Amino acid sequence: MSAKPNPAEAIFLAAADIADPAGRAALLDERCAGDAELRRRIELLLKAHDAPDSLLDQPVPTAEEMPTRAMPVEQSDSTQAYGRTVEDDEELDALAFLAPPGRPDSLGRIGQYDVLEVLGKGAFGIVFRAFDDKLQRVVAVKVLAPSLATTSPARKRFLREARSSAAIRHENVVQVHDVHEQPLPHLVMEFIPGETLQQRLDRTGPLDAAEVVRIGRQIAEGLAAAHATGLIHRDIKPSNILVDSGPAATVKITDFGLARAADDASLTRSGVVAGTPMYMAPEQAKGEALDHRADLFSLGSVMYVMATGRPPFRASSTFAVLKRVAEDAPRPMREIIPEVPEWLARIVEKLHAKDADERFQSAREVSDVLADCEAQLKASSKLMDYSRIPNSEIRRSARIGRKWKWVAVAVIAVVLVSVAAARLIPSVSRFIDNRAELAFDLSDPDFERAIVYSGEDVVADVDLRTPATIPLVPGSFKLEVRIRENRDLQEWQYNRYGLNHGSSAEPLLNSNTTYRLDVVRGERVVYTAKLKPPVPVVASDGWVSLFNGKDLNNWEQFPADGWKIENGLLVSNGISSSISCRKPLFGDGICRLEYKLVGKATGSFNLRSWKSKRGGAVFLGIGNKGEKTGDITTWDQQSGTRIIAQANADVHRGDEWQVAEAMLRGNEMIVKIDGVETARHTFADIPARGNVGLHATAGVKMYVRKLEIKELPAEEPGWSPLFNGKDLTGWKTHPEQPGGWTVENGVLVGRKPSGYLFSERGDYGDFHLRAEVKINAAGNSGLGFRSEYGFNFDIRQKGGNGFCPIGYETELAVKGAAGTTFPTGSVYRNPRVWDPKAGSVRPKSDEVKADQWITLEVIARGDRFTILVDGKTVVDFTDPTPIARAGHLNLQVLTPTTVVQFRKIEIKELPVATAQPVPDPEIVKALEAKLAAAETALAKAEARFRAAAAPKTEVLAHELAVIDVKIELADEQKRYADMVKLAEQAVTKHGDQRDMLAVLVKLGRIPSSDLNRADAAIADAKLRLAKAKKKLSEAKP
Amino acid sequence: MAEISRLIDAAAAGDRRAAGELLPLVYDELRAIAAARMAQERPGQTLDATALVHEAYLRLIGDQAFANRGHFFAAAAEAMRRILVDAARRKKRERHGGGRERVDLPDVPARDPDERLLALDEALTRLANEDELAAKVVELRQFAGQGHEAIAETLGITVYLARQKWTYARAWLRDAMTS
Repeated sequence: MSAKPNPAEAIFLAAADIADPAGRAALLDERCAGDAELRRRIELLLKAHDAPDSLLDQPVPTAEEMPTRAMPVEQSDSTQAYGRTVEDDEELDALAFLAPPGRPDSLGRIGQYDVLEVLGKGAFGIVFRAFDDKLQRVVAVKVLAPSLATTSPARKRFLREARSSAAIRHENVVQVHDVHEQPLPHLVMEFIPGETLQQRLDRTGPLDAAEVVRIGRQIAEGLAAAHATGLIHRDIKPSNILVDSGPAATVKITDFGLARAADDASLTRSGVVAGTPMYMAPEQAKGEALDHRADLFSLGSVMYVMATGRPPFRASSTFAVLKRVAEDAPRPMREIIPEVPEWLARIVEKLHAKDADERFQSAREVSDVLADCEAQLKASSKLMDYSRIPNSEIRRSARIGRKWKWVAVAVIAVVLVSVAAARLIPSVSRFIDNRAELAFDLSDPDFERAIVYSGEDVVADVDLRTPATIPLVPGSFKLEVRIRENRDLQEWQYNRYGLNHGSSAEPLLNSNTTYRLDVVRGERVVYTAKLKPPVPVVASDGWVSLFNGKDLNNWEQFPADGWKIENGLLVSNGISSSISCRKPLFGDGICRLEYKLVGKATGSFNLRSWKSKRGGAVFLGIGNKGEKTGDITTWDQQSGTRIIAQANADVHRGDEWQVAEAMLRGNEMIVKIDGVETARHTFADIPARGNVGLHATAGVKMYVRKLEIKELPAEEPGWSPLFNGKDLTGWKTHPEQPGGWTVENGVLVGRKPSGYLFSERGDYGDFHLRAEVKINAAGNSGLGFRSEYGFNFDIRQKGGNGFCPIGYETELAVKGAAGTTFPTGSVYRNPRVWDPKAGSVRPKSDEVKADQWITLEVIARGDRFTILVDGKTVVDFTDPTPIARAGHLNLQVLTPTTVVQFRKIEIKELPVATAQPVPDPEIVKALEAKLAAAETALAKAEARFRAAAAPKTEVLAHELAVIDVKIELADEQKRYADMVKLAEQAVTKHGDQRDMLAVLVKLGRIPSSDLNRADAAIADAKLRLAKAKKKLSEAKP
Repeated sequence: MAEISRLIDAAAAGDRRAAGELLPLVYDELRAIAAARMAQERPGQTLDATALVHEAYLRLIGDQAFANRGHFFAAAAEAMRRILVDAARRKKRERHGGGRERVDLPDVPARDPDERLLALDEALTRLANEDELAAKVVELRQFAGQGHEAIAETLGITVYLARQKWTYARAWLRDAMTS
């Protein structure tokens, strides 16, 4: 294929770009130079170019509408003030300023408004969709972030400017209905269904000239109305422009004057993100006085991004952006997108004059010019009359700004960069002469290596632990990122796919997966990932401290300034606020909090919250609904905080340090306050793992000096502990041979005198026993099983009858210790009648060292005994002359020099193998008939499908019906391996079916609620698969 | 599904035979969906080519990340073009065949979408002789609903060139179909 344009094509393309006929004619004169045939040909093409064509001009959807679940495009502008997604509803916890809801679908009330949904959050606060029950209409409510609300100048300015913006009534400005000060400053606006211009651009890419003019004109008109009341917007940018989803696609400006309020706050409080400076005017960037013409410069930038797909002033840091805004001319639009008409470029250039005096002087003037263009485009699809288009004589030379003013701005800029940069890895940092530079953020230590492929060729292989950029030309590349091995992939994947990822076939992320990275003109980054904090260090005793006393890097809080660090303590700021620790997640274990509550209000200690799903919480303080310290509570959107297990004692001590401990194992939670158990509860449903967090209500000061967790291995089903870590419950010493048994720091220690500790139960037959045990070098101990608790033996007596309890014993001694003939793991047979040749079995290896914890396991099944040391089988023998089929367990201290320690002893009793049930022939026969019928129906459906008389979905439904019967049949015939395979097929097919339905939903053929049924069917199929697997594993010997 | 992924990967790696085998597979799938659709819909309704191609994509590839999906669309666009043109020819035959319902129509071929489609197909074949790349751009755009960016990716050209080719091809085709 030839990519080189032929001469006619090249001249045609050049001419098509020129809108005015005279210019075209001049170009043809020059380029066709006497070749009449060529010129005639090009004129025909131009005529065709200018004419509409019903077939060729059908709007085609872009590829972005394709399902690209595995290639999410995250929005790079995280400061959207009116975004439509909420990535993390953890914050709902903190919406404590809301009063109880007035209707069932409401999250709560603020004033006369029932909050229905969180629309988005930005630098200023949260935007809700709400219902005004006085006027019975849906509104948008924007609540100023508490962190800003507490700054007096910001609060005052917010209220003042919001009130004056309420005075603007214009079609292109979001109408502010009302402004309230309590409980937090909030404004009530008309609700506009639709999307922001930013979202629109992210979705569609650059817009054509007519659309740029249409939207630009409406923004200019909105600005004109605002400027007429003396109000300057100060933050015109795509995310502050809403595009109504209605047929007219009306454009509306939102957030008048809010930028100012945020600026005030960020100047006085560090770390508050004020938003992107990419659309700022030079006078704003330099910190100079500004007037309404600053908005016109920003309008120019918005038009620029609409036409080209990229903001005009971009640079690698916020500071550099500000510098470019103030000093550089943006790259000519027509260099980026040659189709941008010259006249549009000139209008934007005039708006972009560094000197406000050289710009259009009013928004009205801009809207008039654009309205004129719009009318001309409508009439003849191109511009004929250039009389209102500015000349392109704006000086492009850089003006030298007053550099010293930069210092103040630069300080904020650096703060902003460190906040924002942590969010993007990697990012295409800039485009220079058609080349992109791919930069990697190095603040995430979990990334080790990046490899970029073009086709199969490696273009770059970069070590991410040192600074790196990769130059790339536009094109498609594959990016492979290697992640450190023990990274929590599940969590990372979560962040990549977002909350609403409900796929039946979840793509798994691993460090060897390849991701696609598209580098295209106009900057579109397909691949982004979030920073994850480093993993806290696990102390040698297993406790992991979640709070380091220094910073909150590993914490997420809402609102942003709800918690801070004071003198090494974590302190709530006296406003209702939540904070949660990102990592590690908490599963089975103990979580310990040392806290102090000052003041009357309350808090809670949250465990295993996982995004929208709540775990359990320990209530702290005395609540106004009867809640008290030590209660187990939970939270949901319907009922808010709910007590699910009441504390059995009053243990609250205000103004004093207290220790709250929560132990979770599976679904069971046990709460202790200052070492005293207050409540326990078994949840019906709780996330298996989740974040640990804290919540403090308004008015209270909560201090935390320590927050730590200790993971316990998940309990395996069927195992029961034989030693509780506290006392000898379940055990008894032998009256004649007691031995010296104590519990010290949770460890069971056996010392002299010699003797035995017997299990109270004496009916352990077939079992799997597991003990963590440590023996000293001079010690000799043992673990007896199937033992008789009697008086016919004497431990002190060597040799002869009665040396040991009748039964079996596995030796526990280091090789070479006094009195030891055989090492750890050996099995002694102690029959009723002493027999010197009774025999014992020696292990294959005897590598057990003194004073080290080892795991000793005994599996007794019938007459077969298997001994494992640290997971390795050391003895496996079958007793030809069995001594006992059941009995006690016992622990032994043989010699006076013995010190033996057990820290865990647990047992799983094994079911006695029973005969396999036989399939019922009647049922099998019935199922076989049913299967035949289903198969016939399927064949018919397939035939109908082939004849195009039935949709594929119908065939699939029949296929599923056949599989269902086959599963039943396999179940009845005890063919569990087949059953698992069939159940797997069913899961896949249900997934296919859902995909197909999704297409139909997309095409509007069926309601989206049909997908819920498909999802339910998938869940059902998965459940059946799990059941089949369980049957298979139980059936296996 | 595995088979088609393998073929697409092979085609992406430059295996011409794999590209050849891909087309009938995609064609069969598309025709089956189109037939099912036609059966569900009122007669005379036109097919939404883009939706069909996307549905075929979901059915053949699924929603997994697939680096070389451009090759799928290249095959799908060609297959879709054939299906639509065949359908238009068939309808035309049915209408004019046998003279059973012969009606004297005023000479307005441009009004008939089927005629227009056949004219486009013919013009496109001629354009391909002169500028194969331009013809491919049109095929992907008109028959697989691809935007400039996706076209650029499929054909391994820049978005800019894709736009240029489209502008040229559009004028060329319009001229060819009207003159």
